[in-house]
Amino acid sequence: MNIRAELAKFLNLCFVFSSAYMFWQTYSIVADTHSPIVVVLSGSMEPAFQRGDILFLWNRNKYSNVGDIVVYEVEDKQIPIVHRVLREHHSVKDNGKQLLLTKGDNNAGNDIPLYAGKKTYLNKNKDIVGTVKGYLPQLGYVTIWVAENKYAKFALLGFLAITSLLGDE
Amino acid sequence: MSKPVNVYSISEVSQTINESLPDVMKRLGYEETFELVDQKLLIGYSTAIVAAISFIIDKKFVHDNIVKYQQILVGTYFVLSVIFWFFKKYVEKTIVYSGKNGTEIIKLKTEYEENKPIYNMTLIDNKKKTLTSSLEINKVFNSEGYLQTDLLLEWVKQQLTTLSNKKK
Repeated sequence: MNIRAELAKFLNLCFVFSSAYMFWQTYSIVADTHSPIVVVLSGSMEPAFQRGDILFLWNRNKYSNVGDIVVYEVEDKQIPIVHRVLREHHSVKDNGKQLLLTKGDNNAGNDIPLYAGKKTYLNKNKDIVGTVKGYLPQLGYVTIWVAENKYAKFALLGFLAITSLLGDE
Repeated sequence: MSKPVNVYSISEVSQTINESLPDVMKRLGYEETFELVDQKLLIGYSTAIVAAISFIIDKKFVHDNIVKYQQILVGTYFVLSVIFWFFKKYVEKTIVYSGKNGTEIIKLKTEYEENKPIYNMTLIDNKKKTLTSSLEINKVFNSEGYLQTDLLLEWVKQQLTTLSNKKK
């Protein structure tokens, strides 16, 4: 076995993962958000977005506007929520603090029942992950499929392993 | 024993010849040197390690507390990637073998054109003499697709002799 040839092959594999990850990390820094790409998990924003749509976020805007679609996180809940800004209040004095009320286009009521700690508004600076600036339809469905089906995860990992083994041949 | 290759695929043929060059050169008295490969691996793995550090601290710490570190890591990754690309494109180029025989150092660059059954080799020695030769692949592969290493050795030996006799 030629150790250098094996190391070179493994390096190619490292580059596949590292370049994808560093693209994501670079976008994260540029967009100023910890999660710049999210997948729509529910139908609450239909017909604007469907389950499986991939959303690209931007978080360098000082204020969100009514009508913007934002992604926010609720304390102690891992899953980000994608909803539209229904109402906003901002203060020019209090360091530009902005409060937002959101609602899913496909939901009957606003999101107050979803907010943590009996809050009635979201804080733009603390709770908002980003504003949606672009999307790719349906391409994120594979992540939903993997998350919701335990066998799918193993099938996907098996497929990747077999592909890499055959690729080495 | 080597495996048969699809002789209608010049990339497969070229790769098979490239892989056999270290053995052929060894039989001709050359010892392979790995400076270029080692430098490439060093740069490449440094790049991968930077990405791994970025990934680990992203998982371990809150995003807002490590933005500065992530900026430094992303910048470092970008610089190392450019160095790696530059190294492959302008330093390593298409060199597939480098070796020495006493004080003589030889580098072999190989290339091929799609759909042409010709394997091109450029030999470069430490006196900066170069020789470019073309090998018709049916001269070293039999009809079953097996590489005839003795024939390849003879051909390489001829090129080395031509190179050493060549005036600068």
